[in-house]
Parts: sequence; structure tokens; C-alpha cells
Amino acid sequence: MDLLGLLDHAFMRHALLAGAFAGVCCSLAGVFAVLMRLTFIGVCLAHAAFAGGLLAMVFGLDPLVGALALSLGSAAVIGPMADRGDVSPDTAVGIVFSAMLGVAILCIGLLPGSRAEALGLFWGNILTVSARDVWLLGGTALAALAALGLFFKEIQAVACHREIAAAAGLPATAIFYGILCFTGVTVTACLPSVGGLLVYSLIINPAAAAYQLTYNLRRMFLLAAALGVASCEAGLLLAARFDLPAGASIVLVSSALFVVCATLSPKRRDRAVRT
Amino acid sequence: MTPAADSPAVALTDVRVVRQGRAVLDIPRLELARGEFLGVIGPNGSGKSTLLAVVAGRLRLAAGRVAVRGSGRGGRGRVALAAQMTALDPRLPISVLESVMVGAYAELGLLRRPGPEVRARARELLALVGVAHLENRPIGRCSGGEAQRAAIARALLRRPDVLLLDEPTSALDWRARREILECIGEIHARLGLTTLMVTHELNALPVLCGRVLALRDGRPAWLRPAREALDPQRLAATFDVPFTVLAHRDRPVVLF
Repeated sequence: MDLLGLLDHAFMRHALLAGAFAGVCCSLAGVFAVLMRLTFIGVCLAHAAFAGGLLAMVFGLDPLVGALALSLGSAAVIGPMADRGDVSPDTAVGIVFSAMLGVAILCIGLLPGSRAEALGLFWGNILTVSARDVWLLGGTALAALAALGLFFKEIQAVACHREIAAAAGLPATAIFYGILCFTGVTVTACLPSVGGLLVYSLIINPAAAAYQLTYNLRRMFLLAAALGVASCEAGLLLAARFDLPAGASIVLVSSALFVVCATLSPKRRDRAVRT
Repeated sequence: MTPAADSPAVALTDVRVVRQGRAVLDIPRLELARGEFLGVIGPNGSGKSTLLAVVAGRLRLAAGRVAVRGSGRGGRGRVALAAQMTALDPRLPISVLESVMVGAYAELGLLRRPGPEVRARARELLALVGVAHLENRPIGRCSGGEAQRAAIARALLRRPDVLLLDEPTSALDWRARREILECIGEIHARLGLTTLMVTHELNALPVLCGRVLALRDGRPAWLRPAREALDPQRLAATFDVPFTVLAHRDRPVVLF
């Protein structure tokens, strides 16, 4: 198959653009999740968005509106719940995750007729992504890059050590909640294309791979975004070339990139030298 | 406006902090003179770190007033807290210099980037605390003593009138403890700071501090000149365990 010829098809151009934008915003959200050791939060918010999308479908509303409401709502619950100290952050995420899973399964049971559209939110389909979804992803990616440029010093302080940032007088809690909300928006924007299930790997793998390669946060953001985009584009091209499911190809490429980065990691050598 | 020379640097009046319906700090009155070094001791959960958070303005008071006077706007004092050290991920992508510069970010405000002057001042302070050679090392790969020095430099970057130290020697080996305590003493004297240090390092109290405050259940148990603080009965009543205090080279030494 002529790979350049693929660009003649509008669906492929949309898919490649959506992949690039999803790669950028998911991997940026992933950097926060990896640094703040909240990697499970991606799964939780993805399921919240999925549940919200289904809930909106039950009431005949736009699934993206429901997805956004429930993912932001979950982010707003997890932060204060973990901060109050009544439960650990892991437990807070677990409680919200199980509740969202319950809502999703309930809604699937309540949906009349075919559940193909509902399951589409779970698996996503980057090859049938609409122009609106591409715009949404593009807007989210641009907003994320702008916020990162404008508030880099605050983000660096809070993402690397929230307690130190708070002791230094920064509004660490507000910044942390902002990061959670951004993750919620990213997951929602990725729902139609990447899907509620696969978005998690796109959040974690590129960021975790970048974490292996550098001690510099700016470089980590750049590497994570580059690896996220590379995962999506290479996954799509492999899917087109070998007639594979696109979502699975993207996930497997991002996993393979992580393994390569972890193997070549200079931090691994540093650890070996120390021990 | 410069504060009057005799006005206290820090004054707490009828301060009360309540958590989940329970008073975790209840200080009727506490004043620190400018340039004073106050040691704060007490069992775990006695309110020591809460006291620091109150002076730092990080906690909402249920009642009372905290006044900090100094060189800030309107004669208000600048307060900086060197928080208790926790284990850092050795892979964390932030250098010692960047980590110290975080101390200036709150004052810079949103949307302003740290310029060369912040970087230069951070380097000066790294030199002052003796870790200038580590500026490019990832903070997570520093030893406990080095990370503590960086934490002190970070606090000093806020140009504080009042320096708050929360257990600066916790989790350090004997040599690092001694070096950090010497470093704190030198900085306190050289910069003319008012310092509050929460510590379990009882033997350091007479060397560093002017007075010692003991807290129990969130309330002041006693407040004494440092040389009188190391009294076995007083310490035993504070910590509920027997203590022995010996004189060594004209200094009281606590045995436990």
C-alpha cells in the first residue's frame, strides 16, 4: 500500500491529525500523572468520561457533554477526597473508579436498542473521527501547550514536589486541581477517537518513556509529546499497512517505545552506578 | 514603615486551631523578639508542625491572631518555611538550582518568569549553605544532608525575616546532622533572622537556641531559656519517659 497515497483519503487525514493532537494532550497529562504518582487517575477519569457519555446517551443528550461533566466531576471529587486525608489518594481514585464503572454498566443496561455506539465510546475509532472531534482535540492540545508555556514554573514546582511548592507559598492545591481538570478534559476530548479504554495507555506510556530519558522537565514534556505523536502516527500507518485495528496498533507502538526507552535509559545506568 | 525596634518579630495571641472538632493548637500568648532563635520540642502530635504552619500563614485559625513584623510591605514580616524533608524520587526531573528557585516563584507571581537575578541569588544561597557544586544535580539524587541544605537555600530565597525549620535533621546521619545544625546557626547569625526550629535534637538546643518552647497536646507546657530547658524532670514530664542529663564541657548533654 502507498503510505503517501493514504493522505488522499479525508478519513486518514482526520485520523492522522486527531492522532497527533491526542498524542500531544494525552502525553502532557501523562507527565503530571507519572510525576505525581497518580497513574491510575487516567483509568479512573477515562471510565468517568465513558460513564458520562453513556449517561448522556440514556437521556438523549450529546455524549461529549455527559463525558465532560462526569470526568470533571470525578476530578473535582478525587482531589479534595485525597487531600482531606480520610483516605489515601489511591483509595480515593479506586472509590471513584468503581462508582463510575457501576454507572457505566447500569447505563449500558438501560440503553435501548443496539449498543454499538455506546461501545464505540469505550473502544473509540480513530478512523471514523469527525471534523468536530479533530477540532476539539486540536483545541485541547493548543490550550494545554499555552497553559504549559504560561504557567511552567508553577507546574514544575507542583508536579515535582507539591509539598515543597506549598511551603514556598505557591497555591499548590489550586494548581493540582487544575491539573486534574485538564486530565479530565483531555480524556473527554479523546473519547470518540481513542476511546475510554485506550486513552489510558496513551496517557501513561509516552510520559513514562520520557521519564526514563531525562532529568529536565522541559525535555520530558517535549519527549513525551513527541513519543505520543509518534505512537499515534506509527500505529495508524501500521494499521493501514497490515490491516490491523488502529487503536490496538497505537497502544502496542506506545508500549514498544516505552520498552526501548526503559532499556536505553541513562537513569538505569545511574542507578546501577549508585548501587 | 519600619517596625519599632522593641516590637516582637512574631506575636501569637489566643491562637486556636481546630481539626475535626478537636483543638490541635491552643497558644494563649507567644512572642519572639527580633533575632531570637526559639527551639520547639514536644512529643509527636503535640502541635509543633501546626505551630510552624500557623506562623507561616498556611492554616486557617479558629480564633486568635498572628502578627509577624519585619521588612515587608507595611512593616509585615516575610516568613519562609523549610518543610520537613521527605524522600524524593531519584529520577525527578528537577535540578538542585531549579528546586531552590521555587522559593522565589510565589513572590514573582503568575505569568512572570524567573530572570537572571533570581538564578544568581539562588546560586549565592547555594554557596552560602555549602552546596554550590551541586546546582545541576537532580534534587532526588542528593543525599539527605544536601537536600536539606537545598531546602534551607529555597527558604532563604524568599528573603525572610522569620525562618521556620521543621525537623531539619530528621533522617540524617550523625555527621550530616552536625553539619546542618552548624549551617543553621551560622545563617541565623549572619542574616540576623528570627528563627523557629522544631526539633527532636535536644542536645542542639543550648548551642543554637535562646529559648525553648515545649508543647504537649497542642498547648505550651513550658517556655524556658535554653540552658534551663534540659532539665531531666521537665523533659520527662514532657515526653513521658525518664531522661538523664550530664554536664560535658560546661554543656548539658541529654542521655536517653
